[in-house]
Amino acid sequence: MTESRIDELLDEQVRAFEPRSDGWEDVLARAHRTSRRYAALAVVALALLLVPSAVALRGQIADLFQATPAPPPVSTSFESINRFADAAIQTGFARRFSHVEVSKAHGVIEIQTADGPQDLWAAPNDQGGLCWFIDFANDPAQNGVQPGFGNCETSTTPPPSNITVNGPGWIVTHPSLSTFDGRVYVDAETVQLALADGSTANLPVVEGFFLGSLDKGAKVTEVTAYDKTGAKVAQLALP
Amino acid sequence: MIDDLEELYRTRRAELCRAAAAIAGDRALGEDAVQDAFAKAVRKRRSYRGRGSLEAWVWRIVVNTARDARRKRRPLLGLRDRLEAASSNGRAVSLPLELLTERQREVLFLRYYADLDYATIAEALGISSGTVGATLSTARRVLRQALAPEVKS
Repeated sequence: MTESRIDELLDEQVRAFEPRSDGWEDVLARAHRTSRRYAALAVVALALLLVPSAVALRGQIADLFQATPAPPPVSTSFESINRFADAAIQTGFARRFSHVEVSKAHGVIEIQTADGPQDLWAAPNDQGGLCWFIDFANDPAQNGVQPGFGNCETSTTPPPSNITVNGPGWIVTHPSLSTFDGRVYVDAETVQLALADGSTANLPVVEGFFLGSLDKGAKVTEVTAYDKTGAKVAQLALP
Repeated sequence: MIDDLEELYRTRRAELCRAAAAIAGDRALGEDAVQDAFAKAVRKRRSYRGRGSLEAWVWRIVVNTARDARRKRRPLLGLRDRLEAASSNGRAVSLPLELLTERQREVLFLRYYADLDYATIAEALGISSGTVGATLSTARRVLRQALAPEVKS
């Protein structure tokens, strides 16, 4: 009796959908619209790079792969964070350590670099924060694991500046590029990086993350976040 | 591959929309999430690496997109609120879905609204088939217990 009542209520909860004849055309139009939007962004980004005062940043073009499920090698990399956490707890190295909800790992930002696409993936962790993983999409998986690097938040309390950064840092397999990424803990649309050579560069903020690829040796002196109206909402000076 | 996606869309759209609406908590958002998810799948089709079924890969995108839609939505009336508001006999009863975890709800929705088998649900949510079975069983038990007084009355 109760089982059938549950089914009845589920039926009432969301009624069945009717067929829609133009649905697929709408899908293709949306896919096409998104491609065109990013092609336009690519042109703008290229124009910015041609301005002499512009920056050491290489071809930053955010790619909407938000919500794309993480492929198995990336999920395996996230799983390795959990194995590390278990080991750290078991050996007494830590009492608590973030565990990633691997099933929710998804794409957040993809940028184009001289070495091909660079992706930032994220997933929630069991301490109310997020873990993220950054890789170069063209790097082959090794034993089923995607090479890359990442981090986990261990607290949901934002820093006073509402901005955290990682890098610039480089990895052996991509020695000429330097990755600069971070989090913004207030509602922001973009961040502007001020570099030591006096140039600036803007990066989109997606799900609170930003990701940039700098020339090796570039130094970031300040990160400023702006909301969609262009108002400054956070700032972090870097030593 | 676009042909395969179109075939999947045309044959499964109704179930996809229904499950997405349940996850998003809003009928229009769910339908929109399915359209967006397929647009993403078309654009990112090269990232489908052939491991697991195409349908499960698409379901995963749909689930993620519907989750995002739910998080971004303004506090409009949810499905439950609408059901209660629409009730004319003053004795509206709806499923106490708030008693379930997000995973329990998603497993329930994918099983009931889309009639997916355990393996596809497992692939779509990135969990094991055994976990799907256990989660579904727990979800239904929680709902059964919560509804018991209503059924007896």
